[in-house]
Amino acid sequence: MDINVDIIFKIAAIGIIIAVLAQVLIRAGREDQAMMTALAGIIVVLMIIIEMVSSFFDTVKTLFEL
Amino acid sequence: MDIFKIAIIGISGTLLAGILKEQKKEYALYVGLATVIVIFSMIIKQLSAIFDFFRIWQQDMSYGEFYVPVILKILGVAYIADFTSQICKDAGENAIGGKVEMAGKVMVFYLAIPVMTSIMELINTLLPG
Repeated sequence: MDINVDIIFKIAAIGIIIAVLAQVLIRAGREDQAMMTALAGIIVVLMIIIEMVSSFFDTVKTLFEL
Repeated sequence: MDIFKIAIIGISGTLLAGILKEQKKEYALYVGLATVIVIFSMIIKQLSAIFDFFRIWQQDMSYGEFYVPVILKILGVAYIADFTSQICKDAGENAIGGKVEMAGKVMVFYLAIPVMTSIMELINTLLPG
């Protein structure tokens, strides 16, 4: 999962989209929905990051025989 | 192992983190973490080749079986401690990063104790009287 490079761009894209969406929603007067989308974005990115970190730690564990 | 690919990934990750730093601070941290992990996963092949060399080297030496695993373990602990402390410092949490670093040092020292005891015994046998 962590080998391909496009994960970095995926996370950056999510961040940018969430930032833009939050601005648009705030301008439209829906602050609560802006907060919701911000939370959703963070949850999605956290899922990806946690899965990457766990596979990274497994690789290090097997590599260094820790 | 093309270093240029790694350099490009590092630079692009830095730029993306820079873009994201204004609106959303935490996303810069996520992009940084993802870049670090991707770069490390690119050098795993070479790293395992180096460790295979260590294992071959281990058979040649008479006392190799005792020392080489310790070296590998210390390398792993030092790398993970350094990785975590730099990520924490990158996020601005210097205190946590410092503590992780200190814990890493203690772990490395703990792993080095058997090596030091065997060196002590060697010295005692060498010194006369």
